[in-house]
Amino acid sequence: MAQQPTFDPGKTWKNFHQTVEQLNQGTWSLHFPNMSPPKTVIGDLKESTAQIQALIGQARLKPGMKLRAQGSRWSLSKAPATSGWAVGTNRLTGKMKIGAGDVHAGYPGTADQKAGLYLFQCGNTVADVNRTIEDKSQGRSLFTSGAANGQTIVGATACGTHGSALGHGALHDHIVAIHVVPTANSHFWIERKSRPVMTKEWIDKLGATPMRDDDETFNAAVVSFGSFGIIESIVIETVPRYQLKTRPGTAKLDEALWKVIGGLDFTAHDFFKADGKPYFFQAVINPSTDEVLLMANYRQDCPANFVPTYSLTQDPKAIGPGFDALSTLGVILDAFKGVIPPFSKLAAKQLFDTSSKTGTSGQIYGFKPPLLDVASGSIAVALTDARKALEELIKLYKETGPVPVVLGCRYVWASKALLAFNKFPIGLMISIDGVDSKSTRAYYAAAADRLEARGMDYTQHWGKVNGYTPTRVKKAYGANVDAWLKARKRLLPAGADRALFDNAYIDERGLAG
Amino acid sequence: MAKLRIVAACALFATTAGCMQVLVTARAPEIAGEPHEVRADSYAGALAQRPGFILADQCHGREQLSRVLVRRSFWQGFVGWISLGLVAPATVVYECSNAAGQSELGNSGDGGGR
Repeated sequence: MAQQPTFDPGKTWKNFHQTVEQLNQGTWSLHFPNMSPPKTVIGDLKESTAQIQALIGQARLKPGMKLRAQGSRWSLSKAPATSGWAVGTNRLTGKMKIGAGDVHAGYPGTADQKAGLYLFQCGNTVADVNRTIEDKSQGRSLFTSGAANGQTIVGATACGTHGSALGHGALHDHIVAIHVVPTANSHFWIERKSRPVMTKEWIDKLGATPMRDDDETFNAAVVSFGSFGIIESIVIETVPRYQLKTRPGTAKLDEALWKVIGGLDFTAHDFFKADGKPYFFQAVINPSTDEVLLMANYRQDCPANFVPTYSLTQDPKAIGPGFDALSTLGVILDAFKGVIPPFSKLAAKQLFDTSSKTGTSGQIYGFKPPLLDVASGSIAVALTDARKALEELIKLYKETGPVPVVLGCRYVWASKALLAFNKFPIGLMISIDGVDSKSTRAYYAAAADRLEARGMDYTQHWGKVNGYTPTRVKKAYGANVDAWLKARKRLLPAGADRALFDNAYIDERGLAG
Repeated sequence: MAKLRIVAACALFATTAGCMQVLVTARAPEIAGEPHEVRADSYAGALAQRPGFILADQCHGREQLSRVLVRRSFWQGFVGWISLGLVAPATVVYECSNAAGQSELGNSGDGGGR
């Protein structure tokens, strides 16, 4: 018999970086059923589904109880927090290659895409996904990835994690099917009508109800931060395995560099003369100086026999920040603002890997030394507004005085997801990264206010510190908000079932109920 | 008075020497479940300890340890300082690892189970 969920009565929930706290009523941990070891079989997915349904049923019997899945607790926002039971999913690490015989006859993908479909249970981390698909037996890669790999694939995608692969969307844009468990007696297999993936026979074997009579339900569920029920697994599309050769550098923020940062014109600056347009591009502006850290990563084919290894690396003699150093630093920097500019310069190099290397996507965006009390909030604007937005944020920085943050610039193409952070045809994602402190939090709030005051259209990252209000969400997403709420009601028709998956985070943003 | 202030400030600052933390991590940490916090007290220069050792009993099945953090807060350090080392409390946080025993890649055609 499969191991049943275990309960931890501990009531103080903290996110991984310990910047968010929530009192709850304990955590249930789900365990991988291992029905037919050593491989994942459909029976594992069915057993996990049954256990999730039983937990939902148990929660529904308790008046006022709330429930929410949590993966790696990586989010810097309160999106995964609940006042009720947290459901720990990070042991659900089943994974399957989708066989050609199980792919729907109407799947519109290319032969290569059809050969690169994978199912991952919700608890697989981005690291697990990379290790699985980048194995030489599979020879596949994600087309984009966030900078870290500790998030679960469902946690990362449900909150809109992105990368900066030019011409590509965000991490959630890999997903083509979602298996969601919203109530004690229902579970749905959701796909886009325009992109059916799995055969009806396979979905029947899983016991799920297919839902692919429109595109909208899928586009709502794919970025829904745990509000549509518990996502048990997803199917992703992948691309042939590739390597990235990183090219770090620094440059002055002059007119030539503004053409790159504000318009992605890689012919304008000498830094790109030799290699041209990169596959991945990131610029990190330190507003206290005019120096910009550049990272241009170039795609190259991966040798068929290449065996990637994934590991933290360490220089045993180097002095670096301690695991918890930033909590003390935040207090010090609030008190002594004069030390912020030199600190920011040092911190930028700590926060952003500036070494030169070659490896698969999973190796480049791999394991990082963990740090508590990091702060990060991201604002996205259309590329056409990029320079204006950045100049406003630099101006704001100079007006408010030094703040221990830098402005990371990343670029993401539009998603079909209704509440996607990457809603612009080409978006500049301004990642305001630094130390969690009073002045940093004040800067986050002021940044959104400033762009709003200038009449700019912008979105904010759901999984990071954000200042969304119901009005701002409505302004950012317009009619998509109602479509998202309608899709939620479709999966959770009863108010009491929706209430179970409500939390303060979505309530404060006008998305509950 | 000024000298007294300096002495008091130095004495206070010296207590920060009691604060420490060490993080031990696997090369590729794959965390299973939640972090588990255990209070550990050391007596008389570690002649005696409570608990004698920390059993990672929240790790299930074949799960090993992924990360262990040993930390001493300001107040824990202060207790050690004021008691001249007779009582030295610390907090140990351990996290289990998913890395061993993860299910291998299956095929969508494989059945089994319920």
